[in-house]
Amino acid sequence: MKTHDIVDKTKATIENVIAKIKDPRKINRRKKNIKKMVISIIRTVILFGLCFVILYPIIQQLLQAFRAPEDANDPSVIWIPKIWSLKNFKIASIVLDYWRSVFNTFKISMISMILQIASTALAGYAFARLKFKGSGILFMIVILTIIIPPQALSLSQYIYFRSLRLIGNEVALYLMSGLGMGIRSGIFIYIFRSFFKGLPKELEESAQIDGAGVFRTFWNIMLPNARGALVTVGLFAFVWQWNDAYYVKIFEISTADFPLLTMRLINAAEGMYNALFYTGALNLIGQDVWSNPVFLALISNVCALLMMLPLLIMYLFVQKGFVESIERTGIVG
Amino acid sequence: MKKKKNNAASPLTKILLGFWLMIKKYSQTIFDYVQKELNVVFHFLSVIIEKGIYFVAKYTGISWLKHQWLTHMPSKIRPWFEYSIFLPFTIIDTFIHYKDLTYRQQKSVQGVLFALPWIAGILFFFITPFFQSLLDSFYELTPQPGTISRVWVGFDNYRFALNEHTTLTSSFRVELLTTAGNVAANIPVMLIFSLFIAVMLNMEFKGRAFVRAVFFIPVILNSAAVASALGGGDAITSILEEQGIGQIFDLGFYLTQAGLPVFMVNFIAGLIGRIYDILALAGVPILLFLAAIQSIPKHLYEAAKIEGATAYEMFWLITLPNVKIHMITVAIYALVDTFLTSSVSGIIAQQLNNPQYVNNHSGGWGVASAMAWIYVGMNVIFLLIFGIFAKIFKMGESQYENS
Repeated sequence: MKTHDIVDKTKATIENVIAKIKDPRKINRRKKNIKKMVISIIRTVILFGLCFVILYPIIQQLLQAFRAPEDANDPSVIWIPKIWSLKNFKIASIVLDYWRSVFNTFKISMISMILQIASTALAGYAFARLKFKGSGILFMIVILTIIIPPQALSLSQYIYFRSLRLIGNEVALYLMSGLGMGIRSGIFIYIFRSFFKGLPKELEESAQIDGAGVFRTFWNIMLPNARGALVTVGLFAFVWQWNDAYYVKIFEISTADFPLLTMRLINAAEGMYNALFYTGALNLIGQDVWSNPVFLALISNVCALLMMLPLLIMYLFVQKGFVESIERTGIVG
Repeated sequence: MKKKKNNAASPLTKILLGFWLMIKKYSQTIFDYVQKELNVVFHFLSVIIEKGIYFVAKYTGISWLKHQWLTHMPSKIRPWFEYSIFLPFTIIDTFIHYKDLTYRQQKSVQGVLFALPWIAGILFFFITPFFQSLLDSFYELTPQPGTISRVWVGFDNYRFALNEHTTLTSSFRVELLTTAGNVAANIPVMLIFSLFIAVMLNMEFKGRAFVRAVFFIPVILNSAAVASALGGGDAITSILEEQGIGQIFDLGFYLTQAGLPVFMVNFIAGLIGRIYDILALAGVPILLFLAAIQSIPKHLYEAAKIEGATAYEMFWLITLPNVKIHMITVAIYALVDTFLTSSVSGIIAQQLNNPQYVNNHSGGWGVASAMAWIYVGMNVIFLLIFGIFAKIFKMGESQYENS
């Protein structure tokens, strides 16, 4: 009796398991789960690998930066520093005149970013939706401004600004970006144009039927929908202005009273010893340290890291702006 | 004792008193006069502002402004100003009756107004330098004390740049052709790669913010200043390598140890070496594609899901058509960026900086302009190729345009 019972029970459970395995709904679910797993594993591997490729040199430099200046080329230290120290950062910030130049660079980048967004968004909308006679030819000129190297134009632009007495004045940069001729403004116009073109026409038409003028349609309907473009263009405008060394050099904007990060960094990298000497940073360390060429190279690395740092911190906040698009209910485009 | 009244005033006080009395007598009229003058000035200013805002409001359609300024228009002075200062505006007004224009014409007027800042920029900062540099490329420019002497040489500069120019290690023509080859090889790879990464970064997973930040790093690093500073970093690694500790992660060594043939190892190492270059160039395109993907309305995906579409189908039928319009943008960006960061533009800059000492050929600025124009011509050829591709695949157009 008992053995019979047990056999029955085991049979029942086996059948149960087989039924569970053969159940099509569960098969489907299992398949989905496996698919998800595989996709996420592949994604993790690829993204991790690429992140590693990008981060590897930076982590190396960061760890080198945290070494004490004395063991800049200690052969027994490979990754983790023996003595952690912030002295390199201190010296680098003295060399760059860090706080003042960060403030100045931030100011210039911010203002020219806003001006660039304004001028290029307007022009991009005009080229995307408000076609007028000759707008095709003008758009050709936009593409020309994209592809012509800045070296070809800079000489005449310098002469022009000199006649306006704007050399050595940041207003020159603002003027350029406010009139849509700033750093890579052509690309920004192109980006805005393709974003506005990508929006369904019904959006505008319904706004106009509701009585909105062109400007109101642009401001209330099109701009919020092209938020992705706004964030991207703003980001690039800011970063490229921050990193710009070319126009800043031509217009002679960076001076001792108005230091900018890029020019400071380039000057320091070209002659690190002189930079250390003139800023008085040599007094912080002994001669056995500053006569070491590896130490000088290390300081210029730390300077570059310090220049990138504010941008990275800012980006961590801004990347939340890359959120999902605004829902466009009521239109099936 | 009575105090004697002093009647004998000095002439000065008399005069002053007289003035005072006069002022007292006529003060009202003077005050009125000044006020009147000021009023005129204020009217003048206010009318200018009003007219300006009225004009902007009229053509841009900011309706509340229009209403406000229409009702407060000063009726007395208005015609006078209209026929003097605002003559150009009035001419435009009389010739273009905005209200009578067709819808399309109204839009074109507004299009000009929208593009006005950019058009002004073109007029001020682009046209003159453009033609100047075009002209320079046909001249031999030699800096003399105080001036620059110009001698017409025709196409000599172009001939020199293409055929005779050499630097220490290579020549302009070689660099130009190498860069062109790089562009042709890189752009398709970059388009696919960056779209792929953007789709991946758009998925939901843990640590997405971090990964996005990491992919942003190449965008920041792509700067002349940082590159010049990190040039020192190469010095560090080379010194470390001399001491035999530079390469901790020697892939080639491991692969040869694993028994792979040498050419395979070289190929893989080369590929990995290129990954960083592609990543450095792909930072901007990835962000562009990311923004493009996120501006796709979500209800499209929801509808597709309800209909039972797979992720693969959704990618091909929703994501790709919506992103298609941005592919040309990315391709143009990649083209321009490759050329800008290539050694070609380095040679041009070098030629600009010391025009005298290249190949003992004087007139270096002219040669630099000629080089710049050859560079532009190369870019234009690539753009034409893009244009043909775009026409074939209908890439530059919006999928909403024809519906």
